[in-house]
Amino acid sequence: MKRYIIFFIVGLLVFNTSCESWLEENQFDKINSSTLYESEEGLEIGLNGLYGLTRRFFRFRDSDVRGSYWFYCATDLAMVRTWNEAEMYRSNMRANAMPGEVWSRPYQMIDRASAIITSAPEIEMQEDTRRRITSEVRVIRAWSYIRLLTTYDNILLDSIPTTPGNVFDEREYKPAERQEVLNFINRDLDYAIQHLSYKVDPGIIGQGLARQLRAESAMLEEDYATAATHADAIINSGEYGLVNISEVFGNDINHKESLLAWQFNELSGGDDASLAGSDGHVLGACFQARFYEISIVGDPVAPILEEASYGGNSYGWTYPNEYLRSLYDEENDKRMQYYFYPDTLYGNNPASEYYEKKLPGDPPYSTQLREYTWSLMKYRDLDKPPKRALSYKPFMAYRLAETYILGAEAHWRNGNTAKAIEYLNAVRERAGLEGVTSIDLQTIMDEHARELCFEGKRWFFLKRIGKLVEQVNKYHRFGSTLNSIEPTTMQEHMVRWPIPQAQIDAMGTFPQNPGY
Amino acid sequence: MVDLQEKTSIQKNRNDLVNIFFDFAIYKGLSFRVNASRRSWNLQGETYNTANSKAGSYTGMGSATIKNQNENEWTLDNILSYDNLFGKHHVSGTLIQSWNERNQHTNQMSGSYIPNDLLGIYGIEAAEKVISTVNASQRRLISTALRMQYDYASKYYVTLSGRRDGSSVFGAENKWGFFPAMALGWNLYREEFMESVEQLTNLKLRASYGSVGNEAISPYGSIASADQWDYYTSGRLSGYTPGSVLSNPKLKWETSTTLNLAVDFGFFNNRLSGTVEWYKTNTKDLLVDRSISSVTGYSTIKDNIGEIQNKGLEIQLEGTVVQSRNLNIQLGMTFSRNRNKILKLFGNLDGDGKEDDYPLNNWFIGQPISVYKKYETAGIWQENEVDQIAESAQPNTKPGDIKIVDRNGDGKLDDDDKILVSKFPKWNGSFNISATYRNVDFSMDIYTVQGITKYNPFLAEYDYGGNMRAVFNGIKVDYWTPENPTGNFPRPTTNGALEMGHIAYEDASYIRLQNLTIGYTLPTRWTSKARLSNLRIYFTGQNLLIFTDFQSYSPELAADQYPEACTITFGLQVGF
Repeated sequence: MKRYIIFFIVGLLVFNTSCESWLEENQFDKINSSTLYESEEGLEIGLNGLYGLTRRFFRFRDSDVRGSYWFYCATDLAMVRTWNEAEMYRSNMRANAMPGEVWSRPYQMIDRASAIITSAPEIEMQEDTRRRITSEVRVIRAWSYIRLLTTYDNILLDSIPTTPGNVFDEREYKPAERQEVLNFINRDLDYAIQHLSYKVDPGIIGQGLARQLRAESAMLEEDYATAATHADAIINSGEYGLVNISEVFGNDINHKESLLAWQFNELSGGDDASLAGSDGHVLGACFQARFYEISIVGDPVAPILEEASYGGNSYGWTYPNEYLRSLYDEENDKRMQYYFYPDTLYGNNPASEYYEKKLPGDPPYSTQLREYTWSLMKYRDLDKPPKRALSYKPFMAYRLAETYILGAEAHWRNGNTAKAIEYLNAVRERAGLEGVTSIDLQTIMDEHARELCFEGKRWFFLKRIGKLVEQVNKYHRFGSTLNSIEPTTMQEHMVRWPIPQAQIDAMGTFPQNPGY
Repeated sequence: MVDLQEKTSIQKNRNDLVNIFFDFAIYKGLSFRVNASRRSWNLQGETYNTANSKAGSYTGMGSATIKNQNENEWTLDNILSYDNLFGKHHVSGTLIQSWNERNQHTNQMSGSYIPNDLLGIYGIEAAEKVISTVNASQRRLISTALRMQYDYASKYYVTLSGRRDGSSVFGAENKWGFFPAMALGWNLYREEFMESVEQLTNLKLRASYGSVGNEAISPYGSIASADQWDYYTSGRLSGYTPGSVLSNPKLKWETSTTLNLAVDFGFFNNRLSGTVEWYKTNTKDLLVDRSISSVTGYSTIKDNIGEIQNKGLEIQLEGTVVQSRNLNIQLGMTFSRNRNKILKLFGNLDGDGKEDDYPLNNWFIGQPISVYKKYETAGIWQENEVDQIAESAQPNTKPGDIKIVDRNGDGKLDDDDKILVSKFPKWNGSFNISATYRNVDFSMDIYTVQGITKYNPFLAEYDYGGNMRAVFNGIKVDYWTPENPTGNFPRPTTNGALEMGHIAYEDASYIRLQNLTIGYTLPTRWTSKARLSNLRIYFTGQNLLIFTDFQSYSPELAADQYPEACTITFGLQVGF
């Protein structure tokens, strides 16, 4: 009996000490990233993931209203009331306080794009599918580099995807030559332009967007002829057209003026940016006042309730300012009516004595800018629950009106004044104005302001034409009440962001931008 | 407050543990045991927010979450032991071989836009929008250990041991680690030359040197993976993309090697006894989340880096102060002090002859591994200092704002002006009393941590009412106004005070009455009548009092964590 026990014990021990494969790991809720680079299906889902990351970078909501939001507020057309004033050319505009995601997220997009681009040639698949996928990915990569270059000026150029094997390789951390970056961007975009079609689903990158970005990068290197060519191609493609002023920012913005619009969806979205419908955005809430906070002396209830036609729940952090207003021909320019809320408000609270009547007195109805001021209506979402600031309404990243204005500038600088005036007038006529007969930089700047205000474009436009510091110092405002509106002092070095301090530490030899 | 009424949250926990073992006696001194156990833990949570709750106020409809979290752990041990005495030689050995597996599985369903609250959580099927998620993970461990002990006449002890562990969480090449150890002991009081010292009843010297492995990281760190990241055009598109943490296929064991020297002593028939222990532990290949440059497209990688050292002293004393027929009082105290220091990180890459710091993670050679890096503050700018403000490194501040020291005098405020503050305490200790007087027993335990500085968000952050905006209720502080220039907190503003974070550090030392027990044992002449061998009633309080300067719910926990409970228990102990 004892002998059997001994054999049993020894056998158990011997059996137990082997089995290395028992320690192998297999993940349940994530895939091996190598799957993304081994098949056509892998490339597609990798591309969709990259689209999701890009959408997250360009939108902002509660958790990250500091990154891309900043560029909407830092222009000559804005009056900042609260939330990010310290970052508006003030004490927080330094290396360890400006949001780091403006640097790190584009680099994440670039790395994922490079991984798809380098692995695509090896995969067995239809050639035109391969070209389409790589083109869309190249546009995203080029777009990320344009963004980095125009924000920081001094960036690192990298097209090798990171792996655990090469992450700690020796590398030289020094800023890339501007022309080298632009050449890199142009190569990506030129390839994409050849292989993408104009007609694409909403939210998908097509030839229109690729050409628009190519025109932008051409403007950055002062190659106005190329920029003009691409603008012409988009405008003459037959795919796009300017829509009626009432539809530009209407309920359905996936119309033929849109080159690319970021899609959101409430039912398939939620609190997580990685969901199909994303986690929404607060574009509408940030740029309009909280009308529902107005109180009238003698009226025990607020005359206006949180309700969709007045934008519902809002933040009121940054507003269009007096300078922007002064650029409009208030009587004739239809944009006053469709891009902005009216000055005169009507009560909508049935319990109020001003229900369906004009509020008493003349606007402004309050000295508190939080409650009432001239507000932006472009991002109003009539479908969102009125008590919630978060919206799932798609918003346009690029539209044809911008192509017209960029084309006007390109042709004007290239010497073709007639074409420039024609393009500028197309935008003006859609807005109900008469055409101009002469054109200069100020005309273009003003039309750009009137048409494209608060679309995240102005800061980069003014910086490119060298007018940013001058305009901001003249016209950008801070204010929380009618009596406390004050101007801004922007210093010369603030035309570029500081590189995040954490990244300077990580890179070691990369110099910080001057002045920081 | 409205959520107390409008939100229901139920959580059910179930724990169970099953353990079976077989003991075989093989022959003299040699025995074998097989031990198998399974522990399982299940959490079921249901939360329902009505249309009138805070969550429901945005949409005007109800929302609900159902969550199931399951964890189970299996262990199988084979233990072979031998123990025998040959005259004065005592030999024993143990060989253990064990398998361990832990599984975790969670599923959660969130429903929103529930049209009415009639059924509460059971109405979730009417939810217009449902998000379901499932997560699971598994980790495994195989261990083999051998320990051999020898002692001669209970005077001299030698122990040798070695263990070989394999863990699934490491890279394919590095799953196994080997950890040897050795210990020596000398019962000095048994020596003839010590017998003359009558008061000494115990004196033992101990020394040990050995290593131990650490695998307490999440699984799958060595596997390159991609997260779900979907997109939307006219419908949903499934997408995946690698997350911001880079995998590390070379992940391996973290090894801690400790040298430990100790003296146990006892006097006066062990009425006074204690231990003094000194240790030095060097930990190599620490498992940390290492921050990397974002240009790579990733923000961190789990890595084994460097070497840190923990050196310390522990003293423990116990004494029976009074020992008489009716009264018995025992006092005890412990004291421990630890110094943590980073010795090495990545080597000397910048060629200056010293190990390089890694500022990205706040790791500096010679400093503890957990530090705060902050500006030094020097009070508040006063109205009569306006000229000095213009010439200082903070030219845009106004009287009433925080004054920050420009430590290197270069006119600007950057990382070179920051100081390091350790997150570790200087020492901790405890003091306990236990006493019995006739049938009453009493014990008290006081615990203290001293010399620790902690960041308090209640003093600085908007969401905690601390940034002087007066939007949320916060801690009452003595803030500066022109009429109150001695205030040590900055002036209130509509946009929040600047640089609040740097003054929000407080001394988080505390003294806590951890445990207080009073009991009364009924006299045996009463209890024996009821055929009971003893009957004792007692009251125990835990975490009854705490004295600290740290202004938060608990000095040990994060600001928004639920503080430790103060528990009061009344009990009856019955023996038959």
